[in-house]
Parts: sequence; structure tokens; C-alpha cells
Amino acid sequence: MEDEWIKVGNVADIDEDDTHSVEIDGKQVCLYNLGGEIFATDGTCTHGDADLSLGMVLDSCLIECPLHEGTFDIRSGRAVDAPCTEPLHCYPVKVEQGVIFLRPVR
Amino acid sequence: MDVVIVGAGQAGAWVARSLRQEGHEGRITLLGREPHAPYERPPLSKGVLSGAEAHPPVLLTPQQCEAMRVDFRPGVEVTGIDRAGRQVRCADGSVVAYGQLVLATGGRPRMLSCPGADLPGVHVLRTIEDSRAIASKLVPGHRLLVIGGGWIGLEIAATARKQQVDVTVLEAGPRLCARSVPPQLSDFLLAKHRKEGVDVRLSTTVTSIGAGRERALAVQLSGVAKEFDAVVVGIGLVLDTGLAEACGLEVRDGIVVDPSGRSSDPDIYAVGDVANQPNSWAGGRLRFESWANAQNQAIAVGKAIAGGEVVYDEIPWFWSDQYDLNLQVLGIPSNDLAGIVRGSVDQGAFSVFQVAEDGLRSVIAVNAPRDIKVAKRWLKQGTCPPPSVLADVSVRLDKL
Repeated sequence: MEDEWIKVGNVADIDEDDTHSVEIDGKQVCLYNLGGEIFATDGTCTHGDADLSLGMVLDSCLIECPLHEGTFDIRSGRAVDAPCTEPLHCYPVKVEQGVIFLRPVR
Repeated sequence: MDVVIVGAGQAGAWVARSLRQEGHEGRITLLGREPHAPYERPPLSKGVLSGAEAHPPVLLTPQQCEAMRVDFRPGVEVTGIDRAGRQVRCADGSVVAYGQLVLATGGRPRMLSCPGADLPGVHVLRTIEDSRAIASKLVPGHRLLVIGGGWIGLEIAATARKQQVDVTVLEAGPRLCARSVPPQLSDFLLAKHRKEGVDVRLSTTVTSIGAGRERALAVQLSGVAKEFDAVVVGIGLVLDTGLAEACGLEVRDGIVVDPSGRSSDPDIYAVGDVANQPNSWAGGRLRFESWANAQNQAIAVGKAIAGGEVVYDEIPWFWSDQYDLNLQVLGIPSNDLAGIVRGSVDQGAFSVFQVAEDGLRSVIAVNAPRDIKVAKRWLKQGTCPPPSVLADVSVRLDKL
């Protein structure tokens, strides 16, 4: 399963600098459109039980947690601002003809 | 320069983290009264209380202390500060020398003063032990009395209701959370708790607590007796400013500090619940008991001690989680300003924007966290869309 590319949505579903939540195997994944490029991370903050897709994209590269305002770098998952200290898991994605595919590797 | 931090809660632990992050090279000694590694308190009234979380998030694990070279000493009671000798004395007789001292002493729950307030079965909530003791009383069908209709009381009530506990909330004043939200929000919270089955009684006080039948507590509520299996008192915090006062620091509703967190002694800082600091958003001095303030003020103080120019002047912000509601408050709401409502109060997803003549004053958001984040940006920029736009849910505020 982890070797498979799974179709998770369309680029057209996500505005630029915005988020989109999808569920894969019962797990929330957050998709992002950063200047036309698509990224994917775990959908839940590593600090508290917060849905990152409700947060805001800052500086075209950070996701800010909607509850406690910690931030992560969407491209690497690195925890940037407090209270987040544990990195966020990122997934490989690819886009073919406007369709987003994700590989659910952990 | 060696830094000693007295108090290992949210604020104390973040000062230590921030110091290392900012390149401080000297010793860091963190003295905590509790026997635990520093932890976050918000889950004590929610996940830890319900049993969903075994332990609240730890702010500095032993491994992190080692990696960051933080000498964390749990179970230490500091008994005095010797400013001339630049050292603190501890209850076990030890002394710790400091170059710079940080007071992050927080406070203790205020107790009731009526007869019976110290009986077994009467609880307060500040520590992990407090939370676990209350949790053991959250048995379906048991009768819990929460004294105090503020944030802690309401969060405990919500957690207890989810465990099918029979909950009564007493508030001495005429409305809930009156110190921090306008009447409109108090009314909303009252309706929510009543709908969830809480017996909320306003303008009601406890005159005495005594032993009831079968280990129950007999409580006199404004003169009428009622029995409960447990009582939790959430009527505010008594600040631990004793050390600061005894050594002659300026204390006035907390330890008086400047914008960088420095007290009246330039080598002693104060942070978190005990610090009283100028805040332009509050229009004067502000002492703010919140998780975010404890963290962010502490990060600023770490920077200041490490040698940075720091003016801490964050927009006051806090949140509360009750039932299925996440409530966030930004700025200092006024009781006199009408609010512009965005969203649906009935559906429990809305924001109230208070706009004064000179601009946006505060935002209270219920299950609308993005509105808070956008509004924070507006406040910092000194801008705000017109009321018609704020009220129009078809407009994406973050896209303006």
C-alpha cells in the first residue's frame, strides 16, 4: 500500500495558499497549494488535537495551527514556532493532469 | 551569566528553552515545586480530567533538559531571595547563586472562606494530582458541585457532563465569565451549559459545607441545603508574589515589570501569571493568566536575558474548550460595545467583532478559529473591513 500512489483530489479543489482536508485509511491528511505546487502533511497538529486544515497558510510556506498558533514548514514538516517542537509528517505527492496523487508512506 | 528560574510551569520552562535557543551559554537552573517535569496545564480540565490523556504534554523531558543543559530540580521550594548576595535559598537549606533571576511563580487556587471549605471532597484544580483527584469523582450519576462560573469551572462542568455526572455550577455574580466576555457571550455559555444538562445557578453563593449522608457533602446554597458527592472550587488564583515582596521588589497586582520583563531590580525578571506588564492593546498595564501569555512572554524574556532588544506587547489571546465548542478571545472585549456577529449563534459557529471608533477592539470566536487569526493580522496592521463585510459569511475574510 505504501508503494502505491493514491488519488486524493484535484488541484482545482485547493485555492492558492489554502488547505484542503482529505481522509486516507481513517487518517486526516492536509493538502496545501503553495503558489501552484501541492504539498501534503498529516492533518493533525503534533502538539494538540487540532485540525491543521482549519489553520492559515503564512508567508506561503508555513501552516499555523488554528488552536494554539504553533507553526510548521509545510515543505519539510519542521516545527517552526512554539508550542510545536515535534515535526509534522510529510507525504510525497505528484500531480498528473490536475489530479493529485499521494504515497501514504510513514 | 548564570540564570536561575523559580517556577517550572509553562512560563518557567519556556524561559529555559528560549535562553538556549537564543544562544545563552551560561548555566540554567530551573527550580520547580512540583515533583514532575514541567507540563502544560490546559488538559487538566479536559483530556486529563476525562482520562482521554494519561498525562498532559511535557514541556521539558529529562532528555531535553540534558540536551539543552538545563539543570531542572523538581520538588524544590524556594524560601527567599538574597538580592545583595545574588542567591536564592531553598527549603532544604541549599542556596543557588544567580547572575539573573526569573520569577515564574504563578499562583495557587483561591480557596473558599466559608466553614467546611477544607473538608475532604472539596477540590481545587491546578496540578496533575488535583486533576486526577477530581477525575476519580467523575462517576456517572454522581453529584458534582462546581463553585465558580469562570473558565476553569465551566471546562470542568463540560468534562463532567460528558461522563454523565450530575453537575451544578454556582456563580456568585449575575453572569458567567463576566471578567472576560461581554453579556452576549455569557448568555450563550449559559444556554449551552443548560442545554447540556448543567444546573447553572447565578447570583448564588455557598454559605457553608458540612458532612452529609454516606460521605456526601451537605452544601448550603444561599441558605438552602443540597447534597453533593464532590465539590470543585474554581474562583480564581492567588498569586505567589511572596518571594518578590519579601525581597523588596515592586508588587502591584503581580510583579511590576517593564516591556522586556524586568522587575524593579534589573537582574530579576518576572513572567507568566505573576507578571504585570505594560500592554498597549489593554490600554495600560496588564496581568494576563493564559497559556499563550505564559509561553510567549517567557520566550521574550529568554531573548531579553540572552541580550536581545525586546518589547513584549502581544495582543491578549486565550481559548477555552467546552463540549464541542472551541472558544477564542482576542483583545480585551468591552462590555459597552455592541458586537458585529458573523455566522450562526444557534449553530454554535460564529464570531463577534467589537469595533470601536478607533478600530477593531476585540474578537470572540466560537468554532471559528480562522477569524481570530485573520483579525490578529488586522489588529497589527491597524485595519478592519467594514461591518457589512464582517457580517457577510459569503466573503472569505482571509482572502481580503
